Amino acid sequence: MFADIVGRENCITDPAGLRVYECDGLTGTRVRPAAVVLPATTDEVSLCVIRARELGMPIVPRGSGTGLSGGALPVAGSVVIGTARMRSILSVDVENQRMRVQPGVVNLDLSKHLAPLGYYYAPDPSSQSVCSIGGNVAENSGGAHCLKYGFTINHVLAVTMVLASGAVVEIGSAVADPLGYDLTSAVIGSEGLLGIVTEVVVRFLRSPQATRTVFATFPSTDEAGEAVSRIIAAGIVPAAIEMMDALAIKAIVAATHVDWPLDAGAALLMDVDGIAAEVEETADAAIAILRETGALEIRSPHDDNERALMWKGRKGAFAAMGRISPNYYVQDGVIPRSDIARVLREIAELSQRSGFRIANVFHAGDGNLHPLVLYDARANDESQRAEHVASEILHICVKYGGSITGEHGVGADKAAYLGEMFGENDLETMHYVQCAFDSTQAFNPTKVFPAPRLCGDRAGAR
Amino acid sequence: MQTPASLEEASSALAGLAAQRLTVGITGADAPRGAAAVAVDEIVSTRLLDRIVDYAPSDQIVTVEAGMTVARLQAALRERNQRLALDPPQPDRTTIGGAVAAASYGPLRTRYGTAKDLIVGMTIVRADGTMARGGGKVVKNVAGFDIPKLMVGTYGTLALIGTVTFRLHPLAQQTSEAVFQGCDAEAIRRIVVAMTDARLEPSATFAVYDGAAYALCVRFEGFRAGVAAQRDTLAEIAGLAPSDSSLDALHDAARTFGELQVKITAPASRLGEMHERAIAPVFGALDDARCTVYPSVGVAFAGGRCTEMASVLTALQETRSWAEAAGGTLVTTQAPAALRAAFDPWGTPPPSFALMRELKQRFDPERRLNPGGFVGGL
Repeated sequence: MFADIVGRENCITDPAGLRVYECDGLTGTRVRPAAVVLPATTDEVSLCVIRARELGMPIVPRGSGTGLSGGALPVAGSVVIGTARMRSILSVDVENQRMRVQPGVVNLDLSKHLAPLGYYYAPDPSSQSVCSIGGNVAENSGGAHCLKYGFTINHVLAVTMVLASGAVVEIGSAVADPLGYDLTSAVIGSEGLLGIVTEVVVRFLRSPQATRTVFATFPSTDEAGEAVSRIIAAGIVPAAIEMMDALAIKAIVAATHVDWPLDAGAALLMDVDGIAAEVEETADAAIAILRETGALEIRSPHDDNERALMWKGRKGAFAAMGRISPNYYVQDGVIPRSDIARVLREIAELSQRSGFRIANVFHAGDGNLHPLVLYDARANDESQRAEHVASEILHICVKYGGSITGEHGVGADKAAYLGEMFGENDLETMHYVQCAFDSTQAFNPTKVFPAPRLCGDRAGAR
Repeated sequence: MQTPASLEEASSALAGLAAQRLTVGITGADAPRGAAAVAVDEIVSTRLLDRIVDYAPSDQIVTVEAGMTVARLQAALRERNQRLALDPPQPDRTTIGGAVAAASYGPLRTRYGTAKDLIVGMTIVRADGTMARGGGKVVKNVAGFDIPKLMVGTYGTLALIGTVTFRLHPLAQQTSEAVFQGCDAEAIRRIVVAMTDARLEPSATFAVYDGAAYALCVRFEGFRAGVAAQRDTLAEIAGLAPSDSSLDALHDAARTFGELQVKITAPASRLGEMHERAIAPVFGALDDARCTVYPSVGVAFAGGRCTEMASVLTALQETRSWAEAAGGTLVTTQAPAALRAAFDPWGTPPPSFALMRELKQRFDPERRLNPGGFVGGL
């Protein structure tokens, strides 16, 4: 079907080969696509899109496939267009702190490439050693350090995109304030519904003068939550401030080499970075607040290795759940920061009521919760019930005025819940954007929107 | 002019105008200003929509109606030791809705970016009067398409901005400014690069040009020790003695002065060339000219009076050619009617213009919202 465009070896149609692409990080749901193609250039992507349209095949874009909401989950009869072979860093403009890359470049490779020059790329999702920039653009990925530095949308300035017609268009600009509507903002976080991004221009940052990492344990999440609120109220903007509850600590200790105390009810891992003199002052002030709010133990890593280990523990938290449970469901929701303690208590009640253990790992600074519902898929209907419990957590987030997703996206997993956050008019407005880009809805159908919507010719007409 | 006092009234106003098929200009004041000001049947002013809807200091989030001025919002936030890190010129008369619709900003852009980087939610009223919400009231949120950020810089051509929800920042404990007089463009670029190399983090960097030389102003904000350390490092790398004279008044004057006001963008690395090919020619063609530059962003604002219309037009045309070839733009944010007729305020539409037209078509199929007020006749 596509072999003449990408070469036989980059067009997968055999059942064994397709199995790899049946799901993304949302492993519980699987659909076998009709084909997977791995183009190497923008032109090849364009030809693949045109061919897919001729064949009437839905198109599912895919980066590294690490997404947790099923954004890259194939739909029946679809062709998955993967960017795994588009891994080149195309240009680096140090003077203007800009970099143009292909979408398959791994997030962490940007910072690795820039490190010798003294720069880095700020957004750092936990999967950064494997996730791709194209995927980050699709999901508007965040990470631990977005509290201070923002998300993908604050760091991507322009993209090259293949539209449903096969047309290749430049959106945004490496230069400030491009003319016209900010289509870059429409594309980032659009979860593969608008087209396929084939080049990305990011801005990168100078590495800060100093970074101090502080780890503290608390009797419970109440005190840890209070510490977070008071640090922020003191005018300190930590680069990151992460919370883990007792169950999460237990799993992380089992899975990694960190020597965190197993009897703690909660732990905070915090980075303060910036001007050296200021980092000293604010880290000390933060430590004083940790003490006042009842920290049991406060540690600072002795060297970069120890620091890296602490962060490896945190970033490996999801995978670590495998040590304490056969299966786990990763939830992603957001609440106003000041409600952390109240919401955690509601989640604890939910855990008791449902009988499912729930571990909590989250970006406390911006109220982004990642409750992990632990279950055993071998047991009768447990996976369904666990998923139900996870969905209850989303209801709690919405009740507190938060969001059903802070960084994992809506994808296939949460499309049914988008309507709980937004009304019909809100969804219709979002749909206008989809129709403006792809009125055929060839890209990633069934994702994001709770119900199918057609792009009428007279959109918006009364 | 219609002056709705609530979102519901704004919704009815736009629905009523839709029924009559009238074209509508949206403003926070008495009339749309600047490049987007075009003739319309009716004006809808948001100036009575001037309340804070919700303010959660502990979450550092505020929701405000579009007609509130930036100055009034900042005053309310200051009481809780917070601010919106957005400082467009003329905060006393610039409304939140206007600042967002025009993607306006001031020197804090250096560190905090534009409105887009601070907006987390929005309520809009569409051309047909339908109210719609996007985003939310939490900083981190990827649920659905980001309508609020898309509305930034749309100049009233897609919808009426009703309320805006922003993330806030704490007020700095300490602020310090260093001003270096008598710089040329090369010196400014050298200092900006040296600050990056030294890993300094100025909250604002701008330069004011007087026709002979630039005065460069660098502002540091934060906690005491860090601000002092940065100021010391800057004095060393600049190799110039700083003075303490504030440039705020000069900056504000240069940003808002003149019957002709121009904004020019180019890669920040090409500041020297930008001076030669853009700033100096425009400055030279205007009478009583003022100019301010944000060297780390790559943008210059110039303004003045046009007496020699022909030479102003030539300077603008040549400068726009240079800027567009460099990947940038030249926009006349304000221009006398005679010049407007001869010189497109916006310039060459970008490569993605077809998509922009589609977007306009979806949001405003009858082309009633500020028609023709934006780039390429959007």
